[in-house]
Amino acid sequence: MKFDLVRDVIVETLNCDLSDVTEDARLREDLHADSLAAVELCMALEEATGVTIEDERLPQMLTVGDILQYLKEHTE
Amino acid sequence: MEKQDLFELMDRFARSGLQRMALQDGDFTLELEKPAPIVAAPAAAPVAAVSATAVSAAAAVVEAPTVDNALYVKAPLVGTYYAASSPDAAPYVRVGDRVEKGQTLCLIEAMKTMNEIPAPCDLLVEEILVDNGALVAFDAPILRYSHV
Amino acid sequence: MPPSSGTAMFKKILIANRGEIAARILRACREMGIEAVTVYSTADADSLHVLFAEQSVCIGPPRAGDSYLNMDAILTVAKATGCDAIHPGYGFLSENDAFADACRDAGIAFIGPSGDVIRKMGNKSAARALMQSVGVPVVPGSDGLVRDEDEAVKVGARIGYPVLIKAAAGGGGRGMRRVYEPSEMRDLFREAMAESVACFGSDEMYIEKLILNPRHIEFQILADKYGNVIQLGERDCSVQRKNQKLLEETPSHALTPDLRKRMGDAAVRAAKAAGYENAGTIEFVLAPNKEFYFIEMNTRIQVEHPVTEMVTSMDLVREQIRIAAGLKLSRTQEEVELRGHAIECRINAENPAKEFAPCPGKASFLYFPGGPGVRVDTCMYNGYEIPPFYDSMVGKIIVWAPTRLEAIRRMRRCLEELTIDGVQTNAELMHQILYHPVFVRGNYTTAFLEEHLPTMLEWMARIEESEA
Repeated sequence: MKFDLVRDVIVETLNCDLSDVTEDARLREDLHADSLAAVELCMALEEATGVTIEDERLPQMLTVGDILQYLKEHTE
Repeated sequence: MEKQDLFELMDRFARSGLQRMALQDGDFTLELEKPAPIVAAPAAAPVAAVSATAVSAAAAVVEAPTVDNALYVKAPLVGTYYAASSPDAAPYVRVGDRVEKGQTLCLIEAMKTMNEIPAPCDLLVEEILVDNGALVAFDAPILRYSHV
Repeated sequence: MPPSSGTAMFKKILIANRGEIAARILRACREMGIEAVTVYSTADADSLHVLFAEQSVCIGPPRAGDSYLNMDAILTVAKATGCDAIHPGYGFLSENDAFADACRDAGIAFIGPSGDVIRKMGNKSAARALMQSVGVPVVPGSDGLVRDEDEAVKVGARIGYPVLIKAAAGGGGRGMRRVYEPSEMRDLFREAMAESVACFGSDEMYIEKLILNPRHIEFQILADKYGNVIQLGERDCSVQRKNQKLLEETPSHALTPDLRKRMGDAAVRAAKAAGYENAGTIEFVLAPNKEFYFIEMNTRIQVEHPVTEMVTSMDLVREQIRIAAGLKLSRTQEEVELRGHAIECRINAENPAKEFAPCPGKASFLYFPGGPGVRVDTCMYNGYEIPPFYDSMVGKIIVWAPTRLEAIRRMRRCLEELTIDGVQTNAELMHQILYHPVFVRGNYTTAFLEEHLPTMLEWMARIEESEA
């Protein structure tokens, strides 16, 4: 799962700076994503990658890296 | 409100595209309404004005009532107006006739049923507003009258 | 071979409706170069469908029964003005089989299916049996009356719990009982029957499977006189209150491509089985386990048709007119292409904070949203007076965008731009729905609105306080 695709979706959906979106950036604390923004990010990622993100896994995705990991697992 | 302003206002209203206008000045109120056009030519509806083909020779439709203090018998239903009981019969009433309450003034046909329109009271026929065979809209004025 | 109506296009169509759908049909006629005649009640003298029509005739007083439901008055005007066809819109006479027959008998094309098809699909049990005969799944049920408790217990065991006991003559929830456990069946069945006898004087009872938290998914179909039937995808209408839809969107977040194909095929089979013609909608209930069941067929164009128009780029009212005039469908199933995402919000003159009480009134100032992917279908204009006699819906905002999230954000922006002074509407509530995480996530059901309404009303109250 290409990092720059995920990064661009995050930048557009969360209106954050490109430079802030690193693998260990925390969605809530660093990228200021509130609960609704997290839901919207999930939607945007599903639409961009075609990968369905189960609701139960949403709470465990705290950093950009977690997202990348999940998407990698579900694309092979 | 001076009489002069009143006339000027009414004149400007007449020339405007407005269909209806209500004015309040202290305890004086004025309500003006333009009758929807009697003849088939459409009102200044923006669309109709655009297309020349729209001004077709559709059946002239007698429209909703005008606002003044004359007395009208109005169509209680939409349908085709007939002045007489049959094409070669004499019309039920003519201008100048004295008519008794309940006496038939004309017929309005809707879906093959002929509805007799009775005089609402003893009256003198002042003017007949509809042509024989025309489509009259609901509530449209058919006949202007005065009390006997 | 096409029936006698041949393939000449109509010269003149009477629009037997009012409000936004009358304006919608007028627009299709105007674009097709067809002259339109509209009818109105005295309460609608200043309405858009009167102002825009080349010819408009008043047919009765405000009460719908004397005007928009007055078949004789409507047919009289149609014949007197030389109309070839009548478009009934939705509601009013659109699903009145007697009116469809009366049009045919008067030599005037009814833009919709025949009276027979309307009758057949209007009879619930007949429609159920027809669907079963062509393999369209129906809600498992007793398939006939349940005479006593013993039979009720047997039916319950066969269908599987939870089940719903319904009075055949029932309505509005009377004579109904939800049964979750077999042990409750006997008492609840007796109770329901007693209530039905008390309310409707009838002891005829049905039992059917109770589908918890379903989604309301409907499929748009088009069918011409030559047996061609196509489906134009689904509409998710699950955001509703007391069975009144408030928001519709397509595609539905709940449908996978495979499920969409299976439901679409079922919709086409249903329409073919009914011998359907013109535009129609097959309504399904979709259970959480992704099982779907036929509920009913709407034999008319629907309020929410614009979302389908946005994703297919087709004009459904134009298609209706073409079909009724004897033309073939303008697209085959392969040529139907569903692109992007569309959402519609209904704008009603009502106050959600006061039990959705209707609020007719005068729109002293109006501003409608615009911009890319935005469509507004409405009968309102600056200074328009909403009459109190009819439905409270005064318009719809429809957006299209490449993805669902973009469509949601576009609709939020539109609702923020919308300005209607002088009339209380549900616009603020719709705005709240579009920010609710359950809606945004897409996993909402028909229980969504009523479950979350209290919190949303509270948010609205707090916003009002902060603005006051």
